Amino acid sequence: MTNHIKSTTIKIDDISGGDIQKYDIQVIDIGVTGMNKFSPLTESMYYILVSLIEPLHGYGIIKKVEEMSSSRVKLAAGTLYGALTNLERNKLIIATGIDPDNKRRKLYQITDLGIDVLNDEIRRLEEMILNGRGVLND
Amino acid sequence: MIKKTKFYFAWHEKKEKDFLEEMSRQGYRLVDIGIFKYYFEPCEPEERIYEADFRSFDKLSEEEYLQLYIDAGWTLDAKIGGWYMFSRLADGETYALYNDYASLKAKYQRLLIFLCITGLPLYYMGLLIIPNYGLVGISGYVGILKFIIYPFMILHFFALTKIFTLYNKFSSKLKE
Repeated sequence: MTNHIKSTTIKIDDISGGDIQKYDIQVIDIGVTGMNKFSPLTESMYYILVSLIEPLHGYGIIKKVEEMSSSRVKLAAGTLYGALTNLERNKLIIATGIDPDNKRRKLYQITDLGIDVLNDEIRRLEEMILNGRGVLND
Repeated sequence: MIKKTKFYFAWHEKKEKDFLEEMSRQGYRLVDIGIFKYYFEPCEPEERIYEADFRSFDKLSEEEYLQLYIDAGWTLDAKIGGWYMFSRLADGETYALYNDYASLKAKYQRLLIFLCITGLPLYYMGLLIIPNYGLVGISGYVGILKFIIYPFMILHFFALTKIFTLYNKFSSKLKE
């Protein structure tokens, strides 16, 4: 995991001011964000991590992600299962228990490492949004 | 129960899917799969979506895996080797087991690893043992073996290239 440059913020003025060089340098500075080995997260991975702020089983994740994204992101069962296995192996999530209704359903929750990765991804996305908006609002 | 012999291959998933969906339209529901054989039970004609998945794992996580698919609305119809054939009734929406390139790539990666491992003894026999015996001039037993090993080897190699092409396709889509 890399440490993030928290003090670096992008000012839209700098970008829309037309100073291309300044703009380029800023992107490189921010480049430290998004350098961890999970970055960039796939949309599925990102939403799974976000949903697992509370303990959920597989189908619970599907429902929650669908709800959060107003039915835009519908996780397919195989995609979810693969992502869960992958995230658990990399310790971004952890199995915290089993569903009391059905012992075949494992409950998962995000780990501290998972939260770090998620924060890093949010910073990366914010940078992208700011740069994009900055250019288009010019 | 109706038995249908059909040569199916891992790289023909779409063709098999279409065939099974057509069978359910005609009122035959898949109940089991054997080696190059499908078993059907008569049922009411229905629109069914079939999807094949490939897995290899320990028993414990298989339970969890199947439960997740069941929760998501899939029914396990048949299982052969590492292949699982799931289906669900069509309701106008599109359903798939995988809906991003990362997970599709991972599926074909599992298949590739499986093929490489199973291929080892085949290529060992075909490329090292049999040619050497051939030089010494032992016929009979080894001669018969050749006719079994070589077609399998060619088929295996063909499968390997086909699956690799699929893996590569999703892998390059990911990089876009």
